[in-house]
Parts: sequence; C-alpha cells; structure tokens
Amino acid sequence: MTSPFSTLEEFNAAIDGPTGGAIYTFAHTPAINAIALVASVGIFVWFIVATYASNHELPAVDKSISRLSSFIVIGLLSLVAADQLQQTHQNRQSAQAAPKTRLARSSRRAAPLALLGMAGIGLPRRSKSQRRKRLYQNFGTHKR
Amino acid sequence: MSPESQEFLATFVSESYYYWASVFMILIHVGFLAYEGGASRAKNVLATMVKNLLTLSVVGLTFFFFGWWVYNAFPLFPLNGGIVGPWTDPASEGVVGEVLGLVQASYPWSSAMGPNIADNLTGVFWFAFALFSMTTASILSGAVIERIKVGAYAILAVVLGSFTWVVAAAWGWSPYGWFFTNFGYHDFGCSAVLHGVSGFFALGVLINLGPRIGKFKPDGKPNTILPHNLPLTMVGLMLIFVGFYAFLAACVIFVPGQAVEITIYGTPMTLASVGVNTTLALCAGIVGSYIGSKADPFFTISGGLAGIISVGAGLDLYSPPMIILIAFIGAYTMPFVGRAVEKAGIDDAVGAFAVHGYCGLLGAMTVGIMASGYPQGDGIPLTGFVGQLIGTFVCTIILGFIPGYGVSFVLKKLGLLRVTREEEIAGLDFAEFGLEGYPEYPILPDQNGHTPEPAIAAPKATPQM
Repeated sequence: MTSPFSTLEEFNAAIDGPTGGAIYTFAHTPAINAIALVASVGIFVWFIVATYASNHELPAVDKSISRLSSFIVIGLLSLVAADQLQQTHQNRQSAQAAPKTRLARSSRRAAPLALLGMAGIGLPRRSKSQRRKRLYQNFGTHKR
Repeated sequence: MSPESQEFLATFVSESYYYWASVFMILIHVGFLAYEGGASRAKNVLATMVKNLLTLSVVGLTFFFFGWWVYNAFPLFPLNGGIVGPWTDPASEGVVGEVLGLVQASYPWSSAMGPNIADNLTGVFWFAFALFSMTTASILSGAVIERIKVGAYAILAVVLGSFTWVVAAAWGWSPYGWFFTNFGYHDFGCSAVLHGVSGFFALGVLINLGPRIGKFKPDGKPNTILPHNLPLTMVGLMLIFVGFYAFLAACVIFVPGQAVEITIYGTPMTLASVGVNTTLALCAGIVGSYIGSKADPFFTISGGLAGIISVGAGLDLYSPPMIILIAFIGAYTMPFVGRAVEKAGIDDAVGAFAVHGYCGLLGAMTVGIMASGYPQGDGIPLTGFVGQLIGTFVCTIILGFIPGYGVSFVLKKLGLLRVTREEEIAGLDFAEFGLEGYPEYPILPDQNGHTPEPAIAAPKATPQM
C-alpha cells in the first residue's frame, strides 16, 4: 500500500501521527520517495542530453563542399579545354591564313563547355536553397 | 469583532475564494480561443474562434437550465436510489433528504440562484461548475475545427458540457456519488471525470466527422496541416496553464465551519500541495513530451497539460517526486498515442484525445496503483485499482465515447454534422461570415492541406448600421 494510513481517523489526525502531518504517498517509507527523486534527476539529465540530440539533420557540409569542388574543377577543366581548343585552332588558322570570321565562330563553339563549368559553380547553391526550402515546408512533418 | 461578523467573514472568505478562482478559470477559455485559433489555418481562424466563443454561451445557459440540477440530482442513481427532483417526497430523510436540499437549491427557479442574502455560496459554486462545464466542451471544440457545422458543435457541446460530464461529476466527483460511496473512486483533479469524458467523447465524434480535406493522401498516409500561427497556439496553452491552477484550486473544498481544507471526498489536503504538484507536473510534462516527440513544438507545449492531467486524479496525495515520474510518463507517451490516432485515419486537429482522453484515463488509473489504500470515510472502500477501473470505464466509454459517437452519428445521418466540401475548401471564415481573418494579407495555403477547387460564392453582406 502506498498510503501511510490505514484508517480515516489516522488520516485526519496525521499531524499528531508518525508522519508529522505528511499525508502524501510513501510518507511512511521515505526510501521510495528518495529513489523516485533520483529517478527524477535522471530524467532531467536525459532531457538536457536530448536537447542536443533532437536537432534537425542538416545536409553534411563536407559533402556539399566536395560536390561544389568537383563542379569548380570541371568548370576550370572546361575553360582550359576551351582555351586549348582555341589555341590549337588559332595555330592551325594562322598556318592556313584563314579569315577572322571563322576564328570567332570556333570560339563560340567552345563556349558551351565553359558555360557548363560556370553553371556548375552555381548549381550546388541552388540545390542547397531548394533543400532548405523543402525543410521549411516540411517543418514538423517528418516528426509525426 | 462580533461573532456575527466572524461568521460572515468565514462565509465571505469562502465566497471570495471560489469567485476569484472561477474568474481565473476564464483564462482557460482565453487560452483555448488563442490555441485553437492559432492551430487552424488562416482561412478558418474567425470561424474557429467564434465557435469557441459560442461554447461559453451554449454551455453557460444550458448549465443554468438543467446542468446544475443534473449534478445535484444524479449522484444516487442508479445503484443507491433514483434521480432526485420535484417528484421526490419533500419529507425524505437520510441521504435522499440531504441530496434533496441541494437539488431544491439548484433549480433555475430556485431563490438560492438569485441575489439572496441568506445564501452566499450556491451561486458561487454554480459559477465554478459552469466554468468546469465550459472547459469540458472546449476540449471537444479543438478536435473538430475547420469542418464541423456550428449548429452541430453547439448540440454536441450541450450534450457533453451540460449533461454527460455533469453525470460523471455527479457519480465520481461528489460526496454522494456511487463511484465514491460504493467503490472508493478518487479523482481530485477530474482526470477521468472531465478530461477522460471529453477526450473519448471527441474521439467518438471524430470517427463520424471524418478528416479535413487534404489531411490524408490517397494512400492513407497523413499530411501535416500546419497551424497558421504556432506562436499564438503556444501563448494560448500558457494561458490554459494559468487557468488550470485556478481550476485545481477550485477543486479544494473550504466552506464555513471547516477546520481544514478537504477534497470533495472529505479527505484532508492543502492548497499549497496543489501549487507544488501542479508546477512540477507542468515542468515534467513539458520535458516528457519534448523527449517523446523529439522536440516537436506542438506536442511539447501540449505536454504541460498532459503532465497535469496525468497526475490530476491524485494531485492531493502524490509526493512531489512521484508527481514528476507520473507526469513524465504520461506526457512522454502522449505523442505516440497522438500519432497512433492519426495512423488510424482519425484527424484530431489538436491532439485532444491524446492529451485529454489518454492522459485522463492514465491519470485516473494511476491512482489505483500509486495512491492505493487511502481511507476516505466510514463504510467507503479504500482507494484501489478496481474502484478506479470501474469509474474510469464508465467515464470514458459509457459517458464519453458512446454518447459522442451516438449523437454525432445521428447528426451525420441527418446531414447536420459537417460543412459542404465547397465551404471547407473556401474556408469557413468566408463561407460563414463572408470575411477573412486577415483581409490585408494574402493567404498562401500552398502545401498546407490545400486542395485547388473553385471557390463558392460569398454570402450577401449584411448591411451595417
């Protein structure tokens, strides 16, 4: 029994009884309340730990950086390749004394590759913002 | 000071105590108004708040018409006597005679209900009980927001707030109630008597009402319909907490002639313990639901209420460490119940069943284990598991779920329960009032339970004087 009293008379006269007026559960066996107190402190510590563990998982930073880096590298390689192509073309054209207009056209033909690389620099940023937008939209959804 | 003055002072203290406790209980309704208004979508905010406001009127009036009489007339029925009323022999003696005296003071035409210098207390007790009743009905109002007809809600609120919960109180929260006299039932803070009844009543209604459009995907998986104003919801719950302190204080009985504060069951207690235990339950409840829901803000704030309700039945008896453990367990498990209800295809917009129904049941049953063996009076059984089980079952199933399901089923069959699909999609503010809650701001319902459908025609505006 959790009650410290067995009769209503004892309950009503608790102030003169062994508990000195305490009428709460286990007042006659304080060890149980002491154990409950320790458990309560344990719960509080669990709560503090949980506050660090319950954040939303944001995309890992190293992954996005490596993706960004690869786009930058691809972009730079595209630029180098375009430059190389242009130089090769120029050398060939100067050797053949070709008209200037053809040079300009070949330069335009190499431009998409370079643009791909430049676009690659911007892509991760756009994808990140979309991801964040999705996070806001789904605020709370994945928790339920 | 003359003896007459001293006697009047005791009466005035008692009268003032219940008066101000009841005034502070109105904060529960301010809180529900903000909580439910914030929890609704922007297109339904006015309708939600007006519905909440109407709860005060429909329950307040019907509680005056018959609810107060039900509380005083039903305690003996059916195990220890009949329903006491004008048909009862005025010369009755014993328990029936005592109950008859209270019943005669509770009729709406009773002289005790009006200004009467011979009776300062009947009216103030009516005031406190009327606020209890409005609170009970408000619990239903949150669960059914954004799709119920106002009339249907008013009927259900009357049934719940002025009848079924009042019968539960007559049986389980009265010194003459048969839960108590025959089985030793103990429910100081009305865990099952109020919260259990209303939570299960809401569950019964929700089954017939159905989910909001857009709540569930075609494959049955739930969509989250976000509150349009979560900060307002949180402030609302904080106000409910304040009101709950007053509610629990009003559960303490102190009338002239007493030498100690007592519960409705006549057992000794202190108001100070209400302060300590309610505060600890609130704190442990928030912690429990924070962990249990993995920091979901909506569940976390509801956890404070879940904690208080989980310990409410034994708030006068539990030691503070026990309060922390019980409130934590109740609030920790509450989000799981809320999600289970959602998985079952039931759209409980504010988690009323999980917070009030489940925690109310848990709170009442916990007394049978964690506060067993307490004596409560001569010839009254000790507190125990069986007594709590009987009382809790009657409250939650007989007086909660079955009436909620039954009345809403009839309303559904009559086509009186739910607004039309077009009205629901257009928003109840527009459909009911021809207004928007935020007329100066664009409402962007995309991704929040929105279904693109043609809007309905606005009702004709009423000429304003």
